Amino acid sequence: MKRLLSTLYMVLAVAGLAFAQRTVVGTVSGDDGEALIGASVSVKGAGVGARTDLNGQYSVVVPAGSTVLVFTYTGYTSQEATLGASNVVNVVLATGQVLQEVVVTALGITRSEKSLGYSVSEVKGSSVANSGEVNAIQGLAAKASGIQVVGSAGTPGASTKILIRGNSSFQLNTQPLIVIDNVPYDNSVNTVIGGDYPFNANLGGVNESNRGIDINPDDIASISVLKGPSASALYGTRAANGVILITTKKGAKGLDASYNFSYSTDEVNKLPDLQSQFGQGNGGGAAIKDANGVITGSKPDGTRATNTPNSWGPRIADGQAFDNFDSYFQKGQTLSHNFSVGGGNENTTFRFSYSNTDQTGIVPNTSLNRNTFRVSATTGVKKFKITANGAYTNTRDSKAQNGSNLSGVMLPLLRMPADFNVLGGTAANGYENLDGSQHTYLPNYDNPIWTAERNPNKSNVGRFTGSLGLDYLPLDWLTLTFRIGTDLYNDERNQIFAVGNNGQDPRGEVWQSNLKHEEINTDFLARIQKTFGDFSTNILVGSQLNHRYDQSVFARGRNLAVPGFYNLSNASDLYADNSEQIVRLAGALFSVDLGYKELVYLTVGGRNDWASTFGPDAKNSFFYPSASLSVILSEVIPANDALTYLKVRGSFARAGREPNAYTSRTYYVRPFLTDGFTDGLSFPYLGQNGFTISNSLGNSALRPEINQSYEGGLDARLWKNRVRLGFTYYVSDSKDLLVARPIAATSGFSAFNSNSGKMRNKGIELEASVDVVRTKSFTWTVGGNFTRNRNEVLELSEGVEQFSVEAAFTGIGSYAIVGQPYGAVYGTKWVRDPQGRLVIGANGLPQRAAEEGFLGNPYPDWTAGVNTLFSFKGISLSGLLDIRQGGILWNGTQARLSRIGRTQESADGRDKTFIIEGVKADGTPNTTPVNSLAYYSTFKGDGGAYAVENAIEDGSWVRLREVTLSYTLPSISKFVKGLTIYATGRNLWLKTDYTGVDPETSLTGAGSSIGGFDYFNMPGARSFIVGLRSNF
Amino acid sequence: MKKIYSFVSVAAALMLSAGCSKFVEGYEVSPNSPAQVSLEILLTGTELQTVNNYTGDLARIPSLLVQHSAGRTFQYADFQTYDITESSIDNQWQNLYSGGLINAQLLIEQSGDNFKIYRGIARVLRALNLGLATDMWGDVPNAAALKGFEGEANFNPVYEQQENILKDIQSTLDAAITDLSSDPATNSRVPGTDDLIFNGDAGNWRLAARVLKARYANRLSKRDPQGSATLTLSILDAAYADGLTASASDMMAPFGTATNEWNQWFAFNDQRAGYLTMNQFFLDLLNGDPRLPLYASGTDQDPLGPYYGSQDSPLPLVTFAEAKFMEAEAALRSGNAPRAATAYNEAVTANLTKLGVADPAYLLLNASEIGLTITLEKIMTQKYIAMFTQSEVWSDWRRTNLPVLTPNAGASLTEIPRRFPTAQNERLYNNRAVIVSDLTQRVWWDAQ
Repeated sequence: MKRLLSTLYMVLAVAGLAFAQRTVVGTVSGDDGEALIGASVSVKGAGVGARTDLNGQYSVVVPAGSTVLVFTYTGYTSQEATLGASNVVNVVLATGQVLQEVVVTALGITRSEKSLGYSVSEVKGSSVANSGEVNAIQGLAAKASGIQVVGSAGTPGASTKILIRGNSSFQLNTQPLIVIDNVPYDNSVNTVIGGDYPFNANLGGVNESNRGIDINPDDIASISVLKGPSASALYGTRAANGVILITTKKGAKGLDASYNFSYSTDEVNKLPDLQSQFGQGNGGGAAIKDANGVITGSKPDGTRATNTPNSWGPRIADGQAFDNFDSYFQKGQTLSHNFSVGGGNENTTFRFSYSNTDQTGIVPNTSLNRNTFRVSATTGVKKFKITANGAYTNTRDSKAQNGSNLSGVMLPLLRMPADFNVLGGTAANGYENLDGSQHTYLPNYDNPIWTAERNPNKSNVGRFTGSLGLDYLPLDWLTLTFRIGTDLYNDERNQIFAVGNNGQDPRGEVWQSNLKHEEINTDFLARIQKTFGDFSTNILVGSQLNHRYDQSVFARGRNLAVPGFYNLSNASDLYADNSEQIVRLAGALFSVDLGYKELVYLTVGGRNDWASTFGPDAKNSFFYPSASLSVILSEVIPANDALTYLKVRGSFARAGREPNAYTSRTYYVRPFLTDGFTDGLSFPYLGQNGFTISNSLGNSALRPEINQSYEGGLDARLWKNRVRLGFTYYVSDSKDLLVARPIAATSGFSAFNSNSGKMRNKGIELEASVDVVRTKSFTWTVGGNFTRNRNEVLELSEGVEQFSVEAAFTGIGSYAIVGQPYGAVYGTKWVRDPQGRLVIGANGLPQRAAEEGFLGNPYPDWTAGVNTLFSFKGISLSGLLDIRQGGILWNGTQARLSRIGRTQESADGRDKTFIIEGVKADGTPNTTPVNSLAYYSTFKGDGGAYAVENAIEDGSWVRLREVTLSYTLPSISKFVKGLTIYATGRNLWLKTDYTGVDPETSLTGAGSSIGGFDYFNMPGARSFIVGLRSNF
Repeated sequence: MKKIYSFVSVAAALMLSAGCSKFVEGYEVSPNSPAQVSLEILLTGTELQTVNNYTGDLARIPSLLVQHSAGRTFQYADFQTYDITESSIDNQWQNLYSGGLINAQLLIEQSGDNFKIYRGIARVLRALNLGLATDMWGDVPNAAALKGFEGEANFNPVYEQQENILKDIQSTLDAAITDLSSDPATNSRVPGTDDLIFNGDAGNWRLAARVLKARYANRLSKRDPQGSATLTLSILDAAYADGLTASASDMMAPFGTATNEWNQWFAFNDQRAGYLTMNQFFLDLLNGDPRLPLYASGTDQDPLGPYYGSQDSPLPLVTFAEAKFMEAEAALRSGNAPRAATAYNEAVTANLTKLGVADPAYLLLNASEIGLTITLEKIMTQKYIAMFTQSEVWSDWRRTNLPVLTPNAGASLTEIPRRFPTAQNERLYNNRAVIVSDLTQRVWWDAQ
């Protein structure tokens, strides 16, 4: 087809036109070796041009007298080529920001990079897709400054949390708004649990997904990360945490098809170091020894204790220890197929894609299967342009139990004594016995294989997103846009706890739940673009309406009559609840950009939001302004080779957020009552229903939470764009924070919905890239980003110095503390003398302080990503290093394993006594020895009068996040236009002092405000990926 | 022209603003929870709050402290060493105030004069929850508490002396007795099945109120030995005159077989197996006692037995036997040993009869006292046995030091705790809280 066209051009050129005119052909490719589709080729000064086709090839008719071609492509540095004798000009464009670069900003408006007074990071879709991450959000890790990406585990469907410039709110959602093709895309983490469950469900259960997992990474063309309120102000209240603006791939002129395939194999990348010398039993340091001093066991008769969780038992005879990790974890694999067809003509384009991703996890019986379909089309008719997008995703997964959970995977697996074989049951499958019972070393815990096989948690999400947009250009300076978009999904979940489980009712449970999310968003925008001499104006006014409806229905059956039959009809105790929520937002917005020459740009904007959640004693609307300025200093500096471009920018913005739904009043609720040890008492009770007043005191006068931020920075290009730098400093103050503020229960309530407190985030962001070598056949670029965010809670409510931000465990919590970063880990501490030395008691152990206190900040001091790319002809090699410095983790796993004698350390020290460094009450050095049992269970563990302080560890890491080797074959046939094969390794190398699983971990996932907790978290994974990309 | 433009734009802005405001109106109120509920539903809720407070940790930890039971693993092993922290009793503290007490108060306010029986029950529930709080924490907020509704100024309630709180418990119970004596016909509505505890029987509630009055009068045995004895006896006389004659009117916490209705000792042993077992001291004391197989399931490595530890076994809150034990103790204190002996014999017999093990041989040996033979030790020892699972035993031990207990070996304290530490919630959020972390500090009635 293409050949035919270019031949045709040739014929036309030769036959019909003047002699001096000639046709130039060639290929435009990126520095990663990929053909650039739709790159613009213009003849300088002639006002004619062409675009590259799906193979990156172009053909342009050059009028007489013209000698220069200009090649431009979004995201790449423009290049000029002077024509010589040859009619073939191939160019390689370097990645990076170009002088004429356009950036997708709020509401989908593209603006020139020059005119922006704030920083926006751009990430190419291919860099997310090439990461091989199933979860597109995880694929952003280390790829832009100002963001922190935290995956919760390496298991299928586990959520990924992303923070932009830190936490700006105490208790409102901290996740950025995701917008795909101008329609908000829900990225919630939905946890469904019975209303009678009294605890924080995030601490146990499964690692629920963030719904961004429904995105097909291969559909993403580009991502703009709008970081500060200045960038996101036009999106209103929902964008207070920044916006991740995703643009999907669109069709282009011609016809193109592609097929991409990848295969990944995953394995556990890090596990705690456990001992295999000592078996189940008690005794420990005071273990009973035989005449030769060999520890024989906990019982005088030498028999093994079986009713204890401890591994303080006898030495295991040679060959009698089991490698239960090896029996347990498996190789996961992910197969992914992507098909797309796209095309179009001058007026109309379309694209259709289908993808299938099929993942099986590193934990038995975990999986994820995702099918996505996406259609997009645009057509222009006279002064109208119509855009339609539609996508359907079906995501099905099966997850395993996590965290603090007697039916968990890691909890029983890690605690399991080394002399117990996880597969040692008498039944053929090994995890059960012939009598049908599960094979478990302690009756309180499930066998981890049994729980994975018998207690599955399944989710099936059907999701439709669609939008229709109409642009009308009645005048050449006026564009009117109307858009309506929707995001609808249903999540059907099924959780089984088989008869005989230990986590829930041992008589068996089946949970059936359904979640529904419906969102409708409309935008109406009028945009005026006019130039008056040296002045350019760009005025935007508009309104936005947003309606969100969420519903959840939960049904649970307990006490199953027929084992193995999981239907509510099989249960003799039935429980059900439901809830729904509607939130409506309306916004009116304006933005005025003024530009003088290409030198100074000033933007002033504002938005007024109305929200449905305000109480009767508050205004339901609030206004907030923004302003930004950019000055292109390089325009006034004499032209030189060293400094090609320099922009200085600054901005100010305010953003408001409405209260959470239904916080304006105090309600009665059906209570669930417990002291924390049992599942407690709840209604209906003996046939009666009951309600009591909610613990949460409503507030009809809640005001919006306000965030005010200042940002300044510069962007520079040096040495003909070979060095590109961006620097930003920001200060962002949040006040009137909306929080269910804990109050003394003696007031009758435990929380008051209030505007309390102030918090500050300030930080610096640096992005840089350097073309070290840039020749026709070989390029080498090095890039990097650096992020440092400092968060400080400045003020809580009067007289309150700290409060818990989310319920956690006894003795350890996640707190807001004045003078400390938000989310600080707070818990029990050791008594120390004024010099900070441990004060050791008469028993030889440090003493626990009566009051709990600050233990550390779970957020890193700084993070950085370093990437490099070597490209030689069709071969390229790229790497991404991810560095996290600082940020603590509470290794509750290690503390418990130490207490029960499972850590290698506790085995190495088993026969020893220890004198803990510290001072006695009188200030003299401690001389009292303790045995290994006391040392490991209390000083290192969580037994006796321990302090959680002992389990705080540094969560720093350096990891090789990605490394990819790819080869793009030269054109091989008429049918196959392009073929690239590649191999990627993810997380191949990890350096950390953390003693547990991969420190990129989260017990509570993206749906929670808790950070830095590791309590029997699922491990992370490393992956080896091979794949191919082909175009037809 | 310009005027028209500005007029049109102002009009458009106003319409837009009005439209936006309209678009968001009407979605403020939750469809998921009611802002008001009926007395019936609130009564059931408040009763269950109270049952939960009386039969959970605030029963188990005292039972461990008085050596009915022994903590074996995890947090309960810590409690066994008297390592009871500000956060380990935090939930329980909150359940008293933002659970039982606030709802009892709402019920009192909402029932008013037209629903006196509801109000009377609510007052008894208030006394039960407040009594638990002061017995375990000493000086606690009372008059200034539970006013969160009235605004932020009330978020830091002041602590009140226990002496005043005990007086308030008495007057609350007096008011309850008056309410519960009202003619049902003058009540707009009276409770029925919504009353989980007595199924609407106002007479039984009245008797429970009287026994509770006696409990808190007798609480002053150290502060005012004679006065408290006289008052206890006169309250009990009024109770007997009002119809307190047998265990039939005992206030029992009801449980069921569904998981969410389980007896909390059963649920604890199911969900926290191995945490808490019987104590050898108690097993030794029960040697030869017909209650042993009911109370214990095996050795000191096993949990409690079937009588109080089955799925749906009811748990005692206020009993006839307790009234009789108090009568015995008060009578002995006031010098009336024969009355003490009789009351003691009735108490032991009532307890064994209720449990269905009124073994004549045992009663002959243990419930056949006369004025010359009765001792405080006998009374308190039998009460200690009879009141198994009730936190009242901890208060009795603190008052009488009977039975004599040896602090647990390896404990962090050399004494058995005599109170709980101030809850973390109070330390952090109530700037008027009086913080006590010393578990051996005595509450006011527990005079040295």
